[in-house]
Amino acid sequence: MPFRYEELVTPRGRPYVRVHVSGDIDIRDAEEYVAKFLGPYLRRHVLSVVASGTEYTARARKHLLAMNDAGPHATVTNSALVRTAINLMTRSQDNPNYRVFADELAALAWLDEQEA
Amino acid sequence: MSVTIEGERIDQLLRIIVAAATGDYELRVPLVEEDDDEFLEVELGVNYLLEELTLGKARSDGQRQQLEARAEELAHQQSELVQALSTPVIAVWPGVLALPLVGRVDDERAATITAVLLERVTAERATHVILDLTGVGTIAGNTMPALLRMVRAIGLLGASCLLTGISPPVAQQIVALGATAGGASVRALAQLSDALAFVLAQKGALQR
Repeated sequence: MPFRYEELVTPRGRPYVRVHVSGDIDIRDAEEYVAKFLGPYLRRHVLSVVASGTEYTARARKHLLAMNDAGPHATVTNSALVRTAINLMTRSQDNPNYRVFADELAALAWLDEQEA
Repeated sequence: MSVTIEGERIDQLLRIIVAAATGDYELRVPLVEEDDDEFLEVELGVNYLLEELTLGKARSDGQRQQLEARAEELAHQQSELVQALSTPVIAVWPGVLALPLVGRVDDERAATITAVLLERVTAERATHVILDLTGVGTIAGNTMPALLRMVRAIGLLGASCLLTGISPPVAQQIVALGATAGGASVRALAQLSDALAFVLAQKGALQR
């Protein structure tokens, strides 16, 4: 499974969903991911930690754009390739609810500042 | 924004773009984590574009194959339909078959007609075959001998063949070949109904 979900609380006490992402993401994975955040985790704050080497198929990339309607979403990655891939995917979106970070603490601090 | 890029990366990218421009979408720009600059986004963007082109080509190929299969199926159905319509053998009376021919008769059609008709003569133990040429405008040059061979073949199966509805040009063709060309005795009547009356009279089925 390329996704591992945890329900946690930020340092300031805000509940959020932490998702560890790794491996190859295909359309089925993307559908599952979007369904979670437009379903049971709707409007929840999300912190996705994307491992180096994670790759997205073309169809998965397109489907993940549907996440635009979800709650505040911070992505943490140390991989230049993953960050570049995400930049390309989100370039046309200009979504103020989404940001990419290199540091998880900075990401959590940003999430804490976001309104639900 | 100013970025310094190694010439090798630009060369690689250009090679792949040129290959894509000639229809080869299989190559990808090699990416390395260490190239953490704005050009990496261009390289990855080109790879994404190539993936889209590959997917589009696969979709297009799939649709073309489906269309080709459908066209082949339709051509086959059309061929079957044309064959069925071009040889409408009708049993007008027990042991009496009629074949009204319409349109142009060429060698291929004459061969099909012969095959179908001989099969029906055998299957139905026909004693008479009425070949109605009312709807035949022209018969291709070499085809009349083929039709006369068919008349002979019908005779060999023990049935008599009658020709009706012969147009003046077709009559001239038959005369040119000799009415009994190759031993085929051709009995001609004006209309299909005349031939049917003649046959039924022979069979003693008509009360006068």
